[in-house]
Amino acid sequence: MWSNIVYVIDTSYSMGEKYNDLTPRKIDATRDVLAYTATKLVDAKALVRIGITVFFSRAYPLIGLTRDREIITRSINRLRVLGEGSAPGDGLIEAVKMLRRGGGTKKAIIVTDGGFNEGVPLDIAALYAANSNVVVDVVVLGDFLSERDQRLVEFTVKICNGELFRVANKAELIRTLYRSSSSFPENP
Amino acid sequence: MIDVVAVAEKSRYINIDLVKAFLSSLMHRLSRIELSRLGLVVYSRLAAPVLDLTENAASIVDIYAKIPVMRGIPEPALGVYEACDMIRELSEESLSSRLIVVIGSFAKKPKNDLEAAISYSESLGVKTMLMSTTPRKPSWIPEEIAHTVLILRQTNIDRALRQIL
Repeated sequence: MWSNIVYVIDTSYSMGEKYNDLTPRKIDATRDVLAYTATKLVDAKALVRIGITVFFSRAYPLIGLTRDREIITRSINRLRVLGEGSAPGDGLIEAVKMLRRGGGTKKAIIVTDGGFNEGVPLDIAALYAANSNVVVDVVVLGDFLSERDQRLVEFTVKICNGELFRVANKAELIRTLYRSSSSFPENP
Repeated sequence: MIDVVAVAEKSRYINIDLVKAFLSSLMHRLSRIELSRLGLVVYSRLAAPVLDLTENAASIVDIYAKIPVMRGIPEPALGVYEACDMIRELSEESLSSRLIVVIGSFAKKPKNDLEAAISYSESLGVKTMLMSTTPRKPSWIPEEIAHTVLILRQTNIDRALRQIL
């Protein structure tokens, strides 16, 4: 049975800033860690498929579910800051749409630094993910989330049987992303 | 076989109890039709899928109830496009008849062209019906699609369902 993981990556302007050793910018550190994690996962597990969606004020699929190492690394290398605004709900909906046709277990991992201000509210997207049996983890870069964003991510991981991780540096990001990616949901 | 996507408004303009009553009746009626499936899209200023087409839509009313009221002028056209996307991906044209039911207030003139969205759904072989919770026909709806608008009341839900299914 396939284990399907879609990474939902924040590519808003704030990801262009530095935080601790997430340098030169948060998006660059995310790109490096994601490339490491995704390729390691594909090498280690025969039945893993990976997809990626990106979001700023809008959301797009970057790659559909695949285990083609070259496509995965090439696409991750294209990750960059794309624009202003932050619409994680739209990013998550794109991920669920990607996952809705494939069989197997379904997981989405949102990597963000917060500042949600656009698009479909994250709680509505989370309801869609939960109704589609998609487990959702959220990885927050940095130590600041507004009260509203905090409520939204807590609601999301709660109804989607996921986990919320806070990451302050690159070592934590590597550990967290690999841990989150390696723990597959049990029910398809 | 029939696939139905309900496109339900959740804004401060809509009669939420009426939508819930309609969704409940729709779900029960479809559950008596073999191999029928029901999906749900919600909309206000934006639209989002919340339940993909499924044979077991028993929780559809609860799901709608959980959606927070969204701000802005409702855009039914965006809901129709989202429903078309769901049908295009999850429904086989050759195997089932496909229907979109928009349940909205139609209280304010939206920015996006509803007629164009309906015309797009028709191009996919999908019929679209409009159910208004506002007691009179909205003045902004173009004549070409005004005949598809049905005024929904607590007392005519069954009749409305008989008409569309």
